[in-house]
Amino acid sequence: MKSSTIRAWSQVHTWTSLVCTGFLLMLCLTGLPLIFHDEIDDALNPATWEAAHPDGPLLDLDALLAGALAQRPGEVPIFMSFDIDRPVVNVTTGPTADAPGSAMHFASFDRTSGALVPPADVGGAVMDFLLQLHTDMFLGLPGMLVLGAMGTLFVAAIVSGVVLYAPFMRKLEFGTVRRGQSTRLKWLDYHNLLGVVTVAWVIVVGLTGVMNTLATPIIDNWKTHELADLVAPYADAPQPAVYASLDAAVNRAVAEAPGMELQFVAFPGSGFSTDYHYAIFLHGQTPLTEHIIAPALVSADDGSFAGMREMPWYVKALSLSGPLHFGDYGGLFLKMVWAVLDVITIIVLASGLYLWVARVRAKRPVAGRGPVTSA
Amino acid sequence: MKRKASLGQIFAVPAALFVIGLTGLVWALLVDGPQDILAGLAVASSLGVLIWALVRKR
Repeated sequence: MKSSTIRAWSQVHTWTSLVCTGFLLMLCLTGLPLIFHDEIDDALNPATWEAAHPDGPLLDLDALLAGALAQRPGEVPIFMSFDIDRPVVNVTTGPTADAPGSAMHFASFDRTSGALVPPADVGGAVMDFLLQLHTDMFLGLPGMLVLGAMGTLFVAAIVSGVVLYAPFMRKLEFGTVRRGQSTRLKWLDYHNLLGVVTVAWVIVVGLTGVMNTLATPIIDNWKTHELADLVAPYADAPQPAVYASLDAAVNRAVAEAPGMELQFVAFPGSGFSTDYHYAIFLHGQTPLTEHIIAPALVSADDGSFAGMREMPWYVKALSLSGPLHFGDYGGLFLKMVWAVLDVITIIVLASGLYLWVARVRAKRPVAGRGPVTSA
Repeated sequence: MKRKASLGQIFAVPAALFVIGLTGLVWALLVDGPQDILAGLAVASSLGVLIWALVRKR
């Protein structure tokens, strides 16, 4: 590689890294506890709740929804989700169906009695704070897009780092750390070694992180293009004043999707549906397809079944980006590996910053000696 | 190593770790149960090589 080419790649590596390092350090630090989100929640909130009638029949979803709305006068339903391991339904309401997350209210109800399930939210405020800082820095979509841009720079920094690895390692054996020489050389070797052995994980977490920051435009695009034919017949008609039976809609969706499991319902007007339909999301049962959701759409006006919609590739990619980014798909061991790799990435970022500072200082003229000139 | 190494020599171990790590990441997405541990070990292979590189005498 020519020295001019090396210098160009070095500039790319330096500046892409410098711009994104502060954001990446924040993301790595907040991401570390988020890897163990479920374990922390379970430890802080021991499962003591029991259904009122463990062997009793489940209540009608319309009755449960009516009970939930009675507790939130003036609000409308946005989402309804279903716990996997207990007969509990979670209802999200808000002033309007398209209300922002900060205006939403979340409550859980016993499906055997309709009673409110006490929220298991010890430590929840801290985890929610970390998650929102990690997701959008409390800035909504602009914050997500800024983090997406930083993630893209990070990927460029990784690629340029791999390119630069070759000229640095021409005369060194793999894994060499020159501990006996200067601190800067020692940390350069650590930076190169730690960086190059973790490339696969860092690239995957970086790219899926960028994908996750595009969630809002991706879902908006899906609604605009894939659900357009469902909305067309309604033109500019107002949302239905009275909704058709939710229970019947969900039962129909489940019957139409054998081998799939119910995950959540998006109500008309919410971010995941049209203004006129219940979007009933189901997922597969294999390790891979359990991450991929597909909606059954049922008219909230007359209860007619509008069909199942397979998600396009870009929404499937978004669905898989969640687990591949947070590492919560392969059990506790994988999470522990994820955490160690996260810490190593913090060391790579911090050592990169140190190396840049050390290089800048080395180039600075020493007071009283005048500028350093070449012979 | 005094002699200049070729690209193949320089990237032999990193490329192997890249392929094994990426395989582990995808494998864990396709399986459940005990196989998740094997997939996790594939992802952790880079950590094993890292420890070996850091503790060996030079």
